[in-house]
Amino acid sequence: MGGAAALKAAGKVRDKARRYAAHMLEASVDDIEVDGANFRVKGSPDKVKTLQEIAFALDLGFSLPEGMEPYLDETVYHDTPNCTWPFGTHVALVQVDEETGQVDLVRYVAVDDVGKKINPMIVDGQLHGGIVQGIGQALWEGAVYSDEGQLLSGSMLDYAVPRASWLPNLELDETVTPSPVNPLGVKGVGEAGTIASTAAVVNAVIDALSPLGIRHIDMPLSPPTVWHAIQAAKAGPGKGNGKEARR
Amino acid sequence: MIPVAFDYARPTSLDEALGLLANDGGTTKVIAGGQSILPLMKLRLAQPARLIDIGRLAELRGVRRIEGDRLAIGALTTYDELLRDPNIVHGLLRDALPGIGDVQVRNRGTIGGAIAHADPASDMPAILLALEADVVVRSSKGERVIPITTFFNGPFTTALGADEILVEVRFLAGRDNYGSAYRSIEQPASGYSLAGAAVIVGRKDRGSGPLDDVRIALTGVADTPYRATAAEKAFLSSGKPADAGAHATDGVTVASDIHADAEFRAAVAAVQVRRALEAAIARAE
Repeated sequence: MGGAAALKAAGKVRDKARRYAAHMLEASVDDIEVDGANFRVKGSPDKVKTLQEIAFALDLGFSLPEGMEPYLDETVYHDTPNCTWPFGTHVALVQVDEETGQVDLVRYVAVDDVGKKINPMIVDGQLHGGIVQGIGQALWEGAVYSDEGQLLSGSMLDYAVPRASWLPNLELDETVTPSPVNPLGVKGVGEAGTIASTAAVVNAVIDALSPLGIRHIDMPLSPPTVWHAIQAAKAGPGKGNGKEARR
Repeated sequence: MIPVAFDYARPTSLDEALGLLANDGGTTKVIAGGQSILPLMKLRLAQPARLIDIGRLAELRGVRRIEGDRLAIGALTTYDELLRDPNIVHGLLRDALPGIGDVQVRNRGTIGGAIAHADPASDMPAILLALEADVVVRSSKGERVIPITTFFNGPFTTALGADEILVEVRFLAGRDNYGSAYRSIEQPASGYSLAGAAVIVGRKDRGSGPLDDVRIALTGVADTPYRATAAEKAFLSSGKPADAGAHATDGVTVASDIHADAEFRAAVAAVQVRRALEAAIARAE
């Protein structure tokens, strides 16, 4: 949304600058060529005004063509005909210690399609942050309340947020499918990581434990929770749904 | 996140520090690396009226060899200094030290602070129990040597008097024909153990017979770290690590909290004892 609006507004500013350059250079608007920040008359390379000169003159507003307002700024209202749909596939490889319930995330591969990237480094950073937040929800982050509603995990010594040293190197790749609903072809990326990673990690753990008949364990998949699910599954078929693990 | 107001003193010698403590009403805490007391003060779980900072007393720092093939570790020796000291060859310390806290904690946290603080889930107390360490404490009246087995009275409480400062820990240097190991499963937020096992195993005569000497200590499992003597006996009679594990929590009231229930802790303590013993045996051979 913001990128498309900025693009449109920049276009309107450029158009106004071009009209004013024509006025300053006493030429027809159709004869003004835009070359970076230079606005020049076609066929007369020495007849040129820079964007800076145009903006300064428009701010002074001493000489304005008929109907033109001073200042080089424009307002654009933009609505999009549809949402953008970033998509991707994430794969988590985990190892579960059957004796302790400890889950080790061994490898994480994410292939996301966020359309065209304006700043690839920021996109990677958004994906890293989102993926790790989702992994944290799957494995560590749990708000624990007493029966009276008192928060028991109220400090950072009790509420675990992910640390870089617990994680494998995140392997990112991409496909690029420009969005048809905005002129830049861009899509959102902020939530792409977090949406996929929680499910990928939990599904990997459940897959690892499926030979025991385990189909579900409530998050976070802490060692005690996983261990109890394993014990319940070993005690009898159909019992390993994780519910018994909740205390 | 902000401590209540407190006074602060930084004596320049141990004697000066002991003098300050001797004239204190018991509302003072001694601070060394500050890795335990400062978080507690920020959470306002501890509200000392005064801190005596012994952190720069060079006389309490470093590892020395003493008679009887033993090591004396100054109380202010940090985890990182232990890790880098060529005298510290014990497998269980080599296992545990790199995993204590993070780089900042290992650079600031001290061995004396760890045991004086006596967190029931701290790594170092169990390791020192397995090493059969002696704790040397001093007050303005003199020095006492406390066997580590009688040092921990309960969670965060020790045999250390209000006027005493822990100055040194002594234990055997690494020995041939002995192996040791530390295995632990951690509570992720705090990094403290949910169940940790420190094990030393070897041969008393340093010969090639069966392993006839074993010491097993656990942390994180009960309200103090403890020597698992039943587990030791079980191993000595069968030679099987799993038998030691099966008796890891005999006679112990296993702790239960929001991070792990007692059933889990007991089961996983058995696993850690078995795994530590297996690793220690491999190192002894």
